[in-house]
Amino acid sequence: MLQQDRHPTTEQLSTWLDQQLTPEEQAYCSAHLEDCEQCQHALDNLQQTVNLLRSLPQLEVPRSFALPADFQITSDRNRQQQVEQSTVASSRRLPTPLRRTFRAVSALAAVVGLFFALSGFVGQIQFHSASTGASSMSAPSPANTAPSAQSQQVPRLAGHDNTNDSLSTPYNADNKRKNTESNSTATGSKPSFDLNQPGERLSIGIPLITLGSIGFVLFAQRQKRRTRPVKRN
Amino acid sequence: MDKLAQDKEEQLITRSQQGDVDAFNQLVSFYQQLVYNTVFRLLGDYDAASDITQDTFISAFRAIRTYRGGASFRAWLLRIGTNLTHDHWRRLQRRPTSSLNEIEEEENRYTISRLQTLASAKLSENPEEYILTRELQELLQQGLERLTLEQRTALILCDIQGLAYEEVAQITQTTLGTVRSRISRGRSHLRDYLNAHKELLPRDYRLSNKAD
Repeated sequence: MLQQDRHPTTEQLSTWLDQQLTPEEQAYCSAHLEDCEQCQHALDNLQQTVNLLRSLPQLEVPRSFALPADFQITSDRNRQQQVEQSTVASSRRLPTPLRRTFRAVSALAAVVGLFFALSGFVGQIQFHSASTGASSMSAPSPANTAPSAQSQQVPRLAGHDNTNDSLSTPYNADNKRKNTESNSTATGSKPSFDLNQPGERLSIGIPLITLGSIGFVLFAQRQKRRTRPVKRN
Repeated sequence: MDKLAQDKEEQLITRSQQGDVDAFNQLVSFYQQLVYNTVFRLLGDYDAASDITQDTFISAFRAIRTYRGGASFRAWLLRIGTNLTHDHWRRLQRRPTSSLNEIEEEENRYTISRLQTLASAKLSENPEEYILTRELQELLQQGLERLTLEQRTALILCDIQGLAYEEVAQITQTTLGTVRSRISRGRSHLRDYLNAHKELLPRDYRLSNKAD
């Protein structure tokens, strides 16, 4: 039986078209195809199919797939968000310095208010349990020991940033001034805003905390609203 | 690609690896038609092709430092594209669609494809290339979609995009033998499918199984 009698497989014919046969297969197929009409037709069919595929047009791209100029590599979770957000103008994305300041001031107010409220609260307790009427002795930051009391209070809030330290200075000065005034007058505190009174401190502290917290949250929300999804080009 | 273009491409890749988005976008403009068409032919869906093409370039930029130059950049890029397309395809297979959806989608496809066809058809001087009617284009696309994903991928890369077996093997991460087998089966199945719809073929096209 001659080798040429055995027809090549369809796979061999297909591969013959691409000139990817091994040398042995190539020689064998070429020889066979010279005489075998059946295989010639089979080859022809395959060739026509390939020609049709090659005739399919290359479509134009519907848009550019270029990445945004400020595209940054982030994790998978943020990837989609990055593509959308990066097309927003950077000026809109970042908070303005003014907005940042408002937010910081709100945070400060809340902290100061916390300061006042805490000391006022503690003061209220000691005030009510004192045997004598000398309120200045019972308060945790009494008139005579105001400076040391302040230094006691600052470490209590050591976790906060340095603004507390800068706060304690005006507070010190303020308290000293008030202490001087209260010491010089026999009757003691003025009708309003005497920071030696725990009740006063509490009544200042609580509103400050409230207002500060609200401001802090408000200014954060405003930032988020400014970011909006942008449609792709 | 000639030496000059090759060098330029290497520079762009190096700059991209350093985070230069502009350089990468030049690569995008060069390869986007190739990627888009490959994905489209795999899925037959214009919108999905757009999304996946975009994802391909995003993924490529994120991973560009891993490109070492072993395979061609084109092969590396198409590997990302075909992998994403295959993932998408497999997700679709798991999701059953209502028959109404399918009819709607097919109608939309034909409408868009008519415009696409008119926009991109061009005269060919090669006697072996035909100027295909839109019906025939759609028929070919349908025939492609009846193949297995692997056969379809091999056929698109080889016969539509004109890549050699070697590069197809790199892109699909298989052997030459597997590529050869998939291409062969894809062609035979497609041939049989076309044969069942002879009336749509060009007049001078002959698909006969018997001698004479």
